[in-house]
Amino acid sequence: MTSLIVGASAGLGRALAESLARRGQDLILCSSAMEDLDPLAQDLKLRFGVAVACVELDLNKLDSRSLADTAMHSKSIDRVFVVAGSSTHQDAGPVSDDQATQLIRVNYEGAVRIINFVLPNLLEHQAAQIVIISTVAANRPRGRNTVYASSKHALEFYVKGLRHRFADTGLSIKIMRVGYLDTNMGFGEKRPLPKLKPDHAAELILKSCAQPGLVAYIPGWWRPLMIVHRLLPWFIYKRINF
Amino acid sequence: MKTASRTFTTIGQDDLARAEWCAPDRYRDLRASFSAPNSIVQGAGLSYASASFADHSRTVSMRHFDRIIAAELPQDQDWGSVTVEAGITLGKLYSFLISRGYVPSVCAGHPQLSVGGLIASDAHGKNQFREGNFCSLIEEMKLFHPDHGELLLSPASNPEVFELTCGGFGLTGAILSAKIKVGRIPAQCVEQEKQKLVGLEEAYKLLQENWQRADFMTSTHDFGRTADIPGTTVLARFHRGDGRKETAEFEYPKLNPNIEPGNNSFVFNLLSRFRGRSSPANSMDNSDPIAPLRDYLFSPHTDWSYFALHKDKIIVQHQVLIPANAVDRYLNDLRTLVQQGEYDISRTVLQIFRGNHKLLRFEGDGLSISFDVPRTPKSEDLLKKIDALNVAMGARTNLIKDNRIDQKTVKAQYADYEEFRERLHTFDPNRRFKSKLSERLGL
Ligand SMILES: Cc1cc2nc3c(=O)[nH]c(=O)nc-3n(C[C@H](O)[C@H](O)[C@H](O)COP(=O)(O)OP(=O)(O)OC[C@H]3O[C@@H](n4cnc5c(N)ncnc54)[C@H](O)[C@@H]3O)c2cc1C
Ligand SMILES: NC(=O)c1ccc[n+]([C@@H]2O[C@H](COP(=O)([O-])OP(=O)(O)OC[C@H]3O[C@@H](n4cnc5c(N)ncnc54)[C@H](OP(=O)(O)O)[C@@H]3O)[C@@H](O)[C@H]2O)c1
Repeated sequence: MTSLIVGASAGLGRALAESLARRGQDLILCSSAMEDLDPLAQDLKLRFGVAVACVELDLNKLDSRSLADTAMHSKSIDRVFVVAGSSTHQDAGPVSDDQATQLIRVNYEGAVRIINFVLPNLLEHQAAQIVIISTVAANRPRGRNTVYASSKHALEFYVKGLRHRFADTGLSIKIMRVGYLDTNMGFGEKRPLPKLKPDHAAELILKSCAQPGLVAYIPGWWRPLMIVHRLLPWFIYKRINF
Repeated sequence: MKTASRTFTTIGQDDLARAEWCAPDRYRDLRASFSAPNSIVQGAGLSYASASFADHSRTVSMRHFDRIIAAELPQDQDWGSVTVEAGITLGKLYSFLISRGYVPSVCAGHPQLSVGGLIASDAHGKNQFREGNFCSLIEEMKLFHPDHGELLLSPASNPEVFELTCGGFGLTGAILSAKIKVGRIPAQCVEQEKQKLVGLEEAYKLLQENWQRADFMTSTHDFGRTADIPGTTVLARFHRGDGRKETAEFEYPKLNPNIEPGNNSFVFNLLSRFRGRSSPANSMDNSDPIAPLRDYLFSPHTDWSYFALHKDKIIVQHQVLIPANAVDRYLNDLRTLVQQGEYDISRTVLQIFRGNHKLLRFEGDGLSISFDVPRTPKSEDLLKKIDALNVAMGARTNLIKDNRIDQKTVKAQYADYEEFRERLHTFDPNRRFKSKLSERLGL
């Protein structure tokens, strides 16, 4: 098996790369700087003896060269993890045009373009999988992280469409709605609920990839919370500031 | 780069600082973290001295830079090399190497310590006399300093900065990566020859006479207040012919200095007595003389009570290097001092050292003696007297394991103090890297 991890240099993506390498799977790692991917690739090759290739690719400025680099490897890919994400605490109400563009590009547009690009090759495999890392913030619209959450929601919508289109093929789709992580994305920020270590989250995600069902919550206890969150009547919901 | 504010403390909980910190995981963020006027790098943050934080310095954790970048481990030669990012723990490095028949030939006593921390303190293992200190294994390293950029350091390239960085307490900048010489081992188990002894002098003699017969050597004693100081000397050798292999993954209880402290001298006495009987060093007579290398090298990782004593502010560790020509006089004076003052010293570990003493490194020809004392005003008095004894006898305190020694005493103990300071200021006139240790020592 060869997995493409988009957003592999840090946090959850890096933890996923290690968990997959530990299972003996070959990897193609992408993120915006080769200086971060290279040491990770070396480490995984040396420790686990797997094949690892790296592609420098900035989702905010996707160009034909980086897509072509990905294409070089795409024949072997039978699983794609779209982990890359970007958020900012200023994303409550209006954000600058640059920030809005960046959030939409990284969390939605870039992700869609990558998936779209590797899709034909994925479909050539008897069994293939697309796994997107979404967020519990995409559960119900709220006044914070609005561009981020809506971009993630849009990405969920896109892969659900693929699921419908390719229902008769060996392509499976997984949406991981991840709760708070102990990564640099939320470094130093206090959260009302515990943050999960990325290596633990990676293990839960890989377990969940092998199970049926479209949407998984990571960790699982977010699911009942999110059901309640969705069911809260508007007159209560609008008063909650979280 | 996201930063946060937090309280830092040492493993002995004896110093606090409120400082800004960050734990970058990408190189661009790492470089950006040093834009603060003052910063200091942290490895595992486990030093007994407050060497990786200060009140007005930003602590930059290297914990995410912990990858193995290259390895040359030929199966038909005695030496190989491995290049690692400096935040890697000794345990991760050890796990990688042991399954390939290699280890770093200098292993400090806990797997959680980082390679950067071992270089910055020029740590020693249980075989200093044979293998030297950790920095003797460093073939080259990459250092980042915000005013100099990235520098390649080795005995041939930027040798001055290389020398200053080895045992330089992180004051020259952030060590990004290091190429480390590693030794191929003949077996993954050690065979321990234990000898019960009375007296520190006797142990010193035994260590001196037997170093060629042993791959590792220590002598552990119960100082007590009696004239004789009973102990056990362990000469350990690789147990050739034993095909047992260690498992690749290395699990051990993690140390976390940031646990609420308590303070109880009754507990000290109780636990010291208990430890005296149960610690691996003293119970070795009954234990299996053949031990996996990992258990032998990192024996404290199985000995949780020891760290509880540090964390609960119950004991303080002290380590001194006595020059070879003063060992007999020193041990005699130390014994008299302890007996007359009725001071408490518990577990005392002797090791023989050799090498050239340079700058602020804990290295030289002689005897290293490290011991624990209860954290009481009376022990502070003892340690002050030991400081004076050190100055009188030309002995030196291990600065990375001491959180009280002042600038004046260090100047008196370390002949190269001024040279270190001057060279550091020449390299870095703005003195960008600062810790509580460097401030206390006036560096
Ligand atoms: C349980 C235990 C056992 C020990 N056993 C031994 C032993 O057997 N032999 C021995 O000699 N010592 C021993 N020590 C002491 C230990 O080796 C040193 O204190 C070491 O520096 C701690 O490593 P660390 O990763 O925790 O470093 P930290 O405490 O995080 O930092 C120590 C110093 O290293 C600097 N530093 C850390 N990483 C870098 C980097 N990447 N670049 C530049 N500077 C850096 C810091 O700025 C600081 O000055 C022991 C300590 C403990 C707690
Ligand atoms: N952290 C949380 O609490 C949390 C909660 C719920 C969901 N999530 C989601 O979980 C996923 C992983 O988050 P994390 O916490 O691991 O984040 P992280 O530590 O910030 O890592 C983000 C990863 O995405 C990559 N990335 C970001 N921008 C990129 C770009 N323009 N081009 C290419 N790669 C880019 C980063 O690589 P480079 O920067 O090196 O390019 C990095 O590898 C994200 O999708 C996030 O939305 C996180």
